[in-house]
Amino acid sequence: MGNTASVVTSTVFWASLSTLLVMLPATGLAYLLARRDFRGKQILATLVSLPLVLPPTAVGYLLLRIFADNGLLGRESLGFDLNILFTWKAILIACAVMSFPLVVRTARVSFEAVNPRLEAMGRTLGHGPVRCFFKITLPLAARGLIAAMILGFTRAMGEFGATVILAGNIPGKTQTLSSAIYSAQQSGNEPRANLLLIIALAVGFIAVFAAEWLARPRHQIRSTP
Amino acid sequence: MSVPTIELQFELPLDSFDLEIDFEFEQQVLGIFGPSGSGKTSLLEAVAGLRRAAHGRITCGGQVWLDTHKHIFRPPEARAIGYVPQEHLLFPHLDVLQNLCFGQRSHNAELLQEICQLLELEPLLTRNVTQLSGGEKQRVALGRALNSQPKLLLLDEPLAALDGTLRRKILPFLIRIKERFSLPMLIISHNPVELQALCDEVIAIKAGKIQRNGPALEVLSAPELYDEEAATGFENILPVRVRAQDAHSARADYGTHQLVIPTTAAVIGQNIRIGLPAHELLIAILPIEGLSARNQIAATIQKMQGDTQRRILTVEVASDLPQLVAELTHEACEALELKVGQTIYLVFKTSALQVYG
Repeated sequence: MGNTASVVTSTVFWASLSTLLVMLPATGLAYLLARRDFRGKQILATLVSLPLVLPPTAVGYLLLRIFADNGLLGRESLGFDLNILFTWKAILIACAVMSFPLVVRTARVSFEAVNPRLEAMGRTLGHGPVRCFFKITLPLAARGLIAAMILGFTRAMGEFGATVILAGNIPGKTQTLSSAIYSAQQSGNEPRANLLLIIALAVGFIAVFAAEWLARPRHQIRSTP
Repeated sequence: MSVPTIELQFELPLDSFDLEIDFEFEQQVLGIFGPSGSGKTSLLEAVAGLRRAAHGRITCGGQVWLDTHKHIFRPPEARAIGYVPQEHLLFPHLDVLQNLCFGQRSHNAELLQEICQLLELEPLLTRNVTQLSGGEKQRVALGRALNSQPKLLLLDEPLAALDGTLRRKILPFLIRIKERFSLPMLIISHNPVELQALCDEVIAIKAGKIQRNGPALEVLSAPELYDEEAATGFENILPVRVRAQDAHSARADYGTHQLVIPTTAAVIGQNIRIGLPAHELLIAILPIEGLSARNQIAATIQKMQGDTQRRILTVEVASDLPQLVAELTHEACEALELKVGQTIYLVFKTSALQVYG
């Protein structure tokens, strides 16, 4: 029982942490893709979306190659060991990479839904582009950004393929909710698998319900003081 | 009251033509008139600094806003403009008061109070902007622009989105703004009433080029522009002073003449404006007696323009009153043998008149 609780809390913790890590760069990139035209925009947008369409194990394997001793960010090329593989840091990286495209896509749509003429209006009222972003664009896109965050979180919660390859499935160390369900089912521990399933259902339901609730059409958008 | 000079000398490539403007303006209110798609809004946006593709020179009161030769581009936030776009662009996440105070320089409580009074905004302050009516949105957008203490006001079709009743309500607000703030303004409009009531000068734009410029009446009565005015056609504006209120009509002084006008909320002695559509004017060469139309005034023909279809007459009632425009068929003109310099009688019904505040 104690083991189940720790699997759940650490999974929620890792998923939350990876979501927080992802939010800032993903929001920035989403804004760039929504508002600016630049060379190679399509290529960048495609690259960012790639983890969404690749098998998660392929992404995990790619990350493994990168962080392996002789990889791009491995001990041999850096001169020191980042000590990532088969640790909780590997879980964070796998979750972040897998949820990043989902967050970028959702955030991009919510930025695109903000009329850019409102930002222009803000400029004519004496505010520079940065202030206009924080006073107009961000508050108007806020609900979509929160929805993006929740989607990123659920993706991280459920991440399995890439995590298992990069971080393994070490009970008490790198086991997550999804890898724990896999282990319980494989070892024939049905009661444990059922319990984990119910927890996964509950967490997923709460997260998606929150996202739906935020995205509901509102007749009256109240101002935030 | 001195108004800063505005120098517009720029080009802006648009989809189907280039906007080419070369114009200097020293009076308070400049009207911009032209068919839709002629580049009017682009002109306003270039002045606001929202069109980076504009090249040339734009100055306001000696301050250089754009000079591509010297690589000067003043960003919109440094131009101190009050822009009121056609779609209002109120911030939907803020209430009316927060919208009014959004500007960088919107921190003058006295000014805010005065604007709220002028535009009758007090009852709206805590309202959500998404729930306002068209006329209310228009007033909030105007108030927001004024409250940012602009050096130049840019109004894009301030009355276009409003129906007849609202139009008559907003126009007096615009006139009040003109009288209270000695601000230069550029106003885009299709509406002859608005242009005559507000503008010191009007430019007519077609396909990006200035076709004509001059006083509103002169530009709008030009035959090539006459048909492009609002669906209701050209409307004359008569400044009058209310003299008496009767049961079903009111009387007002128009120069030395007295007119019978529709009842109005105005008090006796108040100066108001009366709209008189050009096609509602009947012309007689002799004074007529025993006529149901209540108004008949003498005038001199100043100018006759137009083609074999229709003639546009510019007439003068008195030298201190704005000239009027009348419209009649070529045949009627021939039959009456009208000539420039001739005295005629303008006949119109009370019900043809529109009261503006």
